[in-house]
Amino acid sequence: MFGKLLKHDFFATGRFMAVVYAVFAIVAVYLVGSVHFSGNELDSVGEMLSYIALCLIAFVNFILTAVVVMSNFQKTLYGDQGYLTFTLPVKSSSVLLSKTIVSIFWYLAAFGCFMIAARIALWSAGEAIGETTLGLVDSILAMTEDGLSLSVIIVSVIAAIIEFFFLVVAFTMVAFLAITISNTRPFQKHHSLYAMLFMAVIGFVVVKLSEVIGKEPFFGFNYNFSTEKIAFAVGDSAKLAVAHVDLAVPLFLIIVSVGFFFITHYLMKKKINIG
Amino acid sequence: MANALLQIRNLRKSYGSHEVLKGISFDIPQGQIVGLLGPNGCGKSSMIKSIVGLINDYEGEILVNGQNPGVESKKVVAYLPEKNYLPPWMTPKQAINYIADFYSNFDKEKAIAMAQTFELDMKQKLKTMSKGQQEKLHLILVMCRKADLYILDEPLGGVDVVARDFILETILKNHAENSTILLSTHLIYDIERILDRVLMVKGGMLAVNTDVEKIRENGNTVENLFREVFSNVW
Repeated sequence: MFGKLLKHDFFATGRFMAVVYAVFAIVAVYLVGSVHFSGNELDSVGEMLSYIALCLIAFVNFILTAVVVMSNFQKTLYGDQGYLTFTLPVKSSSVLLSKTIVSIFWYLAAFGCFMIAARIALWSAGEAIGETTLGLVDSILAMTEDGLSLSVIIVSVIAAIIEFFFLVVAFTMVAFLAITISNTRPFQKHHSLYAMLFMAVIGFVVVKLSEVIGKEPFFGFNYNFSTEKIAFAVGDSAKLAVAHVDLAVPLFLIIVSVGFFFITHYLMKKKINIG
Repeated sequence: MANALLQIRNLRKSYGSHEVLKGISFDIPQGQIVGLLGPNGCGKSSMIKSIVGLINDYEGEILVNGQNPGVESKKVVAYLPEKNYLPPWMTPKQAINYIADFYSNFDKEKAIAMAQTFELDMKQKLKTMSKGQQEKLHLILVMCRKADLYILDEPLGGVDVVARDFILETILKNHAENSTILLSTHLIYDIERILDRVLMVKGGMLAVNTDVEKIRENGNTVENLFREVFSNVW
């Protein structure tokens, strides 16, 4: 049953997201092909427009993802479609878990889309001015030539990816909790307004707590790349790098996400009246 | 009551300080068609939502086939809400596949055949369908399940007389053998002839719980009894 929930949640959200990714893919292919075959210059209006469109889609995609995921959550659980969802012979925790997984997938896809757009933009800009730009792997190898330990860099990158992942999970759970609270009886009438308000408040509290716990700027996954940290680890082993990867924030995000999942589930089950 | 499919004991439900269900108790046996009658706001929908698992913060006990509302009870209850509960982008084909995915007692072939009989375009989106077409689709999705208990909330509301006859005929023809139907409505005249039992809810309490046969034996009709019970409501 859980697989069926996932399938239908992917389909419900994917109908719109598929269009976004199809447009992104067409623009990306056009831009890469056009720049490659036109003498490596962004000299036509079409190329310039597709260049701008690519960057725009990559940025807007995060907002679109958030809108699609949150409106799907609201409509299918607390709108009229809730009559269907909550009478299915499945556990309400499975319903919530399915929506969480689908949400995380789309945010990660948006991030992947952003990275691809950034890579193409850098490449096409570099081609246009006649200089080659470095990819991530090339950049890492170049850093090692400057004396940085490869293991230090790899550990830092992995730590950053893990932290980003948990950031996405926490963001999803903050949004779901905020929407759920806004659908409880006192706030039901103006639930959209309250959902935004609760999201801002809960998000602010999580940010502040993570700043205190992590002793770093909020969700500072960039700090792993910072000169200071890497310089500190130069010439040392991977152990030293690992020692300087701050696990406090990812752990905090895991605890927050799990906690918010259970609170959302409790409210969903005990405090929401559909219709 | 022996062989009670639905058992409700001292059911209470409040919205804030407003109590809509004030300790309702009754049993419904297998194989009956039961009318749940009462004016708007009397607590019918809250009771139904509690039975199907949409409302969980009630007091008292609800047992469907001996189970509290949950995954197991939802397998045997086919619920037709008052509202359109399908996404507007869905087509009849997608809706049928959706229900078939989740309910093992859903007869997909029968649903497709019924959709053809009702002349529904399997590729037409719900948002472009007429209200009548949407009602037909909802009815198909519910009545093609071999359920133990069918709960139909105002299935005749907002449709003309011909459509009402069509809906009632569809329900009678297609419900599973020996199943129970709980039919909530305020259009008593249309359903009187098919009912075995009536429950009348007044001010959150059960005012009447009797066999239709007994009402008739007393020379009365369900509609007249309804008038008597609710004469002071308006």
